[in-house]
Amino acid sequence: MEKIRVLSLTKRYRNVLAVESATLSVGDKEFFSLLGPSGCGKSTLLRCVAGLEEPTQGEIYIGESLVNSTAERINVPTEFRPIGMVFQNYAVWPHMTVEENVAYPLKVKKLPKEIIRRKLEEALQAVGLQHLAQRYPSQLSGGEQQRVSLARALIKEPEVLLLDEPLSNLDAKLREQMRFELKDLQRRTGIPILYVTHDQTEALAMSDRLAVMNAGRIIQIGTPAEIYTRPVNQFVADFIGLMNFVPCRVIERSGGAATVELLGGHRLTVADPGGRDGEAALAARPEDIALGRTGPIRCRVAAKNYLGNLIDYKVVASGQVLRVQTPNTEVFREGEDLGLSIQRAILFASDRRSRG
Amino acid sequence: MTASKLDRRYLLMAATGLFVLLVVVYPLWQVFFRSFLDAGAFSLKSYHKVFSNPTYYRAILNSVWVSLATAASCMVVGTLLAFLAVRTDLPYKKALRSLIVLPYALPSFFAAIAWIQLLGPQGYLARFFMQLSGREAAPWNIYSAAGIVFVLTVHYFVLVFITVAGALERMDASLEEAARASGAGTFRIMREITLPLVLPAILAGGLLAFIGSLANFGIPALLGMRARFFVLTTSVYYALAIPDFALATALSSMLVAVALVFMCLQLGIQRGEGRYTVISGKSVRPSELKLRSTRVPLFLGATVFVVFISIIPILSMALTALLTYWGAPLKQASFTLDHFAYILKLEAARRAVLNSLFLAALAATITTVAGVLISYMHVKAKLKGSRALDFLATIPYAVPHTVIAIAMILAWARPPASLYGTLWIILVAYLAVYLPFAVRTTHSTLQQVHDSLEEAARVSGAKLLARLRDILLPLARPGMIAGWILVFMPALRELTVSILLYAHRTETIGVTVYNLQDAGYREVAAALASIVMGLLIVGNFVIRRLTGGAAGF
Amino acid sequence: MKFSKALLSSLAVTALIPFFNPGLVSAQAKPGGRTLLYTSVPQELATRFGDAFMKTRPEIKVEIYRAGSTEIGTKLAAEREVGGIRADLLWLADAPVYYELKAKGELLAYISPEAKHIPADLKDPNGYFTAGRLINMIIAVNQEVVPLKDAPKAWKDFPDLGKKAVMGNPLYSGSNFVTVAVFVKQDGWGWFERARAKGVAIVRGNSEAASALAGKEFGIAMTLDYIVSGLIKKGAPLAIVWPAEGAISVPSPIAIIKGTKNPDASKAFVDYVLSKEGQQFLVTQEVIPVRGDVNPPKGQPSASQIKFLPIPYEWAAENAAAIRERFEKIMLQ
Ligand SMILES: Nc1ncnc2c1ncn2[C@@H]1O[C@H](COP(=O)(O)OP(=O)(O)O)[C@@H](O)[C@H]1O
Ligand SMILES: [Mg+2]
Repeated sequence: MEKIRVLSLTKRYRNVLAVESATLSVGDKEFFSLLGPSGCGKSTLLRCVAGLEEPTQGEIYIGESLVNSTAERINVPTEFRPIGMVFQNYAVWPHMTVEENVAYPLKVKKLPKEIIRRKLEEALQAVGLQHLAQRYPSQLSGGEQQRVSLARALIKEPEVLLLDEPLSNLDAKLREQMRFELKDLQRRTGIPILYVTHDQTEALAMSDRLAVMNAGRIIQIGTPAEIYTRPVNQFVADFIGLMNFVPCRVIERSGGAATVELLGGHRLTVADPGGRDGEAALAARPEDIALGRTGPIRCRVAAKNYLGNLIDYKVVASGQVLRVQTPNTEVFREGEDLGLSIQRAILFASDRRSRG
Repeated sequence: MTASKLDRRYLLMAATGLFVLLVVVYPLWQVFFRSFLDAGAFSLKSYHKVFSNPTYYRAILNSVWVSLATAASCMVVGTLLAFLAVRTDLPYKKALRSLIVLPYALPSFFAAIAWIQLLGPQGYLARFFMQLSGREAAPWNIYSAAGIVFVLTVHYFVLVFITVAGALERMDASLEEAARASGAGTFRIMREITLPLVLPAILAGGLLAFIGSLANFGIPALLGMRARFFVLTTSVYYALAIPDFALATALSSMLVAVALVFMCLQLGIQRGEGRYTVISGKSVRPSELKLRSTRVPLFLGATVFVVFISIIPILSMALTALLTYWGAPLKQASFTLDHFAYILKLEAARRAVLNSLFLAALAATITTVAGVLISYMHVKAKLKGSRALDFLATIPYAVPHTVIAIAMILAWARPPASLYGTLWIILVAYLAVYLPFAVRTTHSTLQQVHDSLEEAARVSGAKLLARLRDILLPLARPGMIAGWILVFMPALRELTVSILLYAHRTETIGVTVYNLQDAGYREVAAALASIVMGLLIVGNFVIRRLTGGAAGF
Repeated sequence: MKFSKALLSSLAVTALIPFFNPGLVSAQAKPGGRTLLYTSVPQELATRFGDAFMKTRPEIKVEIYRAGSTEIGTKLAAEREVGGIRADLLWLADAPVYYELKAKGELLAYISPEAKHIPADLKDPNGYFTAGRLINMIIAVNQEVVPLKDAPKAWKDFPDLGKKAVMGNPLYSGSNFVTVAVFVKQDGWGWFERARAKGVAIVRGNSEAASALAGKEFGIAMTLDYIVSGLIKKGAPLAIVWPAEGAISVPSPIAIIKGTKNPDASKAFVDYVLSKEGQQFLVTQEVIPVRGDVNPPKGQPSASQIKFLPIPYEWAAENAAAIRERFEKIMLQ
């Protein structure tokens, strides 16, 4: 059962095409992220779902109901949509106490006092703010304000929860902690979440599925593993995780496999994406490159970073700098001559990092 | 879409649109189209007169430069004082604020008279100076363009002061702290951080001062005549005295045109409004700048200035009220309380005070509510057409009050809606006159409330009225109260509109003061004006006490 | 919310006020009961006079709208655009206006039985208007600035005091306009050219001229006698000089507007203004009477003792625009 459906949604500001025929759906209990660089249209898409922006074209369903349709001239105002939302700058009301802020969605529903009280207690408990109920926002830290905002979004038990970079204003430690809390909260409540972030680690860690966006378009939708291991183009490959791009030349194709030549004549056979022969790019994750005293491609260690569980090397092979990450079982010195082998790689036929 | 799910903002927009149509557009149109009439037929004769007669086109130029000079000096004085009164640890700054706003309550022709009494060739200060220096005359001349700019500045800088003070109060202090942390000194911060951030407020206030001086009649009428210095408003008055209705309306249209040009300029500068949102959803604590060694000198400077512009004119007016006749030698025999006794016994004066309190309170309340709604459409809801609405609601500010009064007669003196001869027509005129103030002040106030605060309420399920009531109005409250007072004070002593519209038993304070003054009862008029000032001061004090300083000045 | 409560209560309070305030409801004319007077005579005088009249005719209610003559002119012009003048009675100091109104057919002819006691040059032969009081344009002197012996004794010497002399602006004030018309009709524009060259100051109107004179900003002023008398009574060191050529006596006419809804009440008021009783009441208010059988206020010359310059009303009304324009060119540019 899909909880949010966005169908060929386009949003144009006077001269900016902020979102261009975006289609996606968020399933029940699903944590779905919109990931992309700043200015790619994530917030705009989210705000269209919230009804805070009116789409130029397209349809949006929340649950069963059609909330936007340019064809049928439907645009259900935000206040009638069954949504909860958390804003990047928290948007807690400075003139209301924590309690008043959180209880507000119930107050406007005119629920009985006892029910409001009970739900308020639950909501404050859920975000761990019981002891701050009477405080004003200016007496709270950023993290606490963010929790107020979250509790307020959840208290009306919306069908979906929309979050726009909710963690980006928090410090690293707190961000990590909130990530787990959010995930935990979703597991407990089962509420579908549409989550906007520009932080790929966050998106990969938290999402069930995510959509990678660039310049107003959705480039790829998939699970974190799919996106990570099978990026559809160089943009996604580059944007998600670390990726080495190595120039190469396709010299032979047969039966869905392509043989390429790279780094001073070394040959490798990988899955064939199709396209023209000739210059292409091979993409390999740092952990998909093996490093050893022996190996088909000669290289030298230029720099080394100890990351604890991993060791991060910068190696130079045929003038090309590559990032390689290996387990900490075997340690090489800087300046050592070594050999490397590429164990898994993706071939991209087109120019580097084009839109796809 | 079901009716209950209608976006109510459009309903509200229609309602406010109708309000503006009835109060502003229809009446002004009644005047405007007459500027193209000559004996009932279309003609450009009046405009031709405006541009062929040097008196008139010179008046346009005079109006523009005098108003520009006034606006510039208002922006400097108003911003400096606002900064001192809001963001520093200046001693007694609350009292300073109350005093600064005071001169605004003085009718502008009274302000002009007060300044003539002080700085005129035989004014108290001029005589003091002559005694000190032994010269024949003071080295200044209040009957000059410079004198006009000076008195206009004293009269209108309050508009900049109030808008800028409001903006500074709501400004995120961390923006300044960040600059301090970056190693910037106080003056650098003021220049590079604070100033640019409150620039929209400064410009908004400056525009109010500009258009206010453009449309002011009392001050140039009293000070300009002897210097043979004429501006548009005094020319409009001439045209009416002739009477040449079409010429008067053509001149008024020129005035509106000048004002519109500058309004557009200001709108252009203020593009990209989001940049200046300074109340964000993140809540911060305000901070105060420590003046340290400059504290005492600045305090003394500010005190001298405030005493000069606020207290002395009022004292001079009170002195006039206490003298047997103006110009009487300052000795014991010349002082009397007769004028006060006279005014207290005058039934018409008591009635006028009641009428004016009623009109001013109602006009301030209605225009503030309408102003908030109009600003809301434009600044927050950003509905189509809201910009035009906002613009239309601002136009009357540039129209001389006499013309607005004429417009009201033309629009609302005929059945089926004949309000003429009742207090209601004065009220409608006041709504038109003061709506622009309310729109401008609430405009900048709402602009400073971050969009996400309202959006969060929408997401919470709050419908339009709940959002206005629970979120926007409380957050905009300080600005709205300031706006309310900005309407209430001038409305309380309004003259030009009510002198044409009042009828039996509906006289206002302004009318009474004027009629006394005109009959040569200058001292009695001063007594009434002094009583009104006293009422305002006491009222302000009571309001502050009752609200714990949250309301009032 | 605190705020909305405050807003509501202020609305409630303001909504209640109308019930205590009779002025909010337009007074409906009871047949035979009400007459509306537009006047530029001083507020207090008008009110007292109205009260005195209502004492003699309690069934009639006089409602008074008092403003400067420019405001009244504007109001009349606006009212004309929307169905006609609303006033029943008009009592202004601006005599030329009546010639215009008469020409436009906006006045009701009424020859009051009292009018036979009024000199012919103070009334319209057809009864369209009749002078209700006299105001005189004179030379006022502040003796602390210019000793009385050095003050000009005639209009022709007035400009010689240059910057020490002040006069009201005829573009604003009707009585000043009449004065200018008198001077121009007699001697052309020479007087004004001289005044401009010597720096005679122009202020808005007669009360401003008198005030500025009392405030010692000037030594002499061309202004109205009753304003100066008032200041002298309060102790100001002023004196009145009756110019050798003659003062300009501006009648302040009263007329009935043709559209009056209540001609009987309006006529009764006119009768009272012209009656001996009414004129005597005016005298107690320092006004110079129009009737020969009523003595002027103490210390003031009677109409027969003062020399007056003839006023060319019809000429002035015909040439009003040209006179204004020329004055503006000479004195104000
Ligand atoms: N109100 C607006 N008017 C014009 N352009 C806008 C507006 N809001 C967003 N944009 C533009 O739309 C694009 C997408 O913005 P946004 O959705 O906020 O990006 P992000 O992915 O960083 O959230 C950007 O280029 C932005 O400049
Ligand atoms: Mg964003």
